[in-house]
Amino acid sequence: MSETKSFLVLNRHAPYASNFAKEALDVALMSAVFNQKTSLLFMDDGVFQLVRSQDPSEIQHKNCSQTLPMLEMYEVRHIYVDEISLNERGLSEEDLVIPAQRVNAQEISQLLTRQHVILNF
Amino acid sequence: MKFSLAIYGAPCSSQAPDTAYYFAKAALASGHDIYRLFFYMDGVQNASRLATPPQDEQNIPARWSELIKAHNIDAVVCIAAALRRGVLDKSEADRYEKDANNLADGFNLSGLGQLIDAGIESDRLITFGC
Repeated sequence: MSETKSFLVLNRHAPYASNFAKEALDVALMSAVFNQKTSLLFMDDGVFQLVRSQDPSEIQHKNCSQTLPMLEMYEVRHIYVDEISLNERGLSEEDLVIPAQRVNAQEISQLLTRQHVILNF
Repeated sequence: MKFSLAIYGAPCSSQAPDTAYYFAKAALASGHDIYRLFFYMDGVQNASRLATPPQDEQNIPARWSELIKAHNIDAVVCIAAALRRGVLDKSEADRYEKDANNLADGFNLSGLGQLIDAGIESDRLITFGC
């Protein structure tokens, strides 16, 4: 493998209604394993993936948010969250389980333009 | 141009298998290359050869198998996503002591690294079914 590319994993689904959150995170970690420049952007209902104190034990699901700190172990440090999506859902940075940089619509547009590969989930 | 296609949608519940298939055919017909088809999430159902639709409906896995063979395309099904959803080749069926396997001709089970590799090696990686 010759090149390094920039990969952005775009997360737009809430964590437990589907497998999107879990399988998207696997992709982000794999991109980091391949030493690619890896970023994640959470928007729309995807911001719910970041909420701290999730307890899905009643519905017999694994807690997706417990895997998020692995991103730091894999040196994935570019984690972004759409501030409009947070505001619409009454969430703030203090509600999040890992630090994420708030971005506005214009910054999201620039962020997407900078990527070689965008992986939608 | 060198394309790879990531397919996340299943036959019957998503348009992704249809759109991806027609995109692949159009790309090949226009002289482009398909570096890889990567089936992930519910898209792994595209690779079940046990799908048995009525005669007057498309058999989507069979149609993929034909295209893959005709153009010698690398068609990878994510192994973790496939095992979760009951799409197994013979060696996985043996490993997990299952009484059947169903991976259609032309498809291979492999790891998620093949999706990242497709992103690195292709000019464009296009997602279908999100």
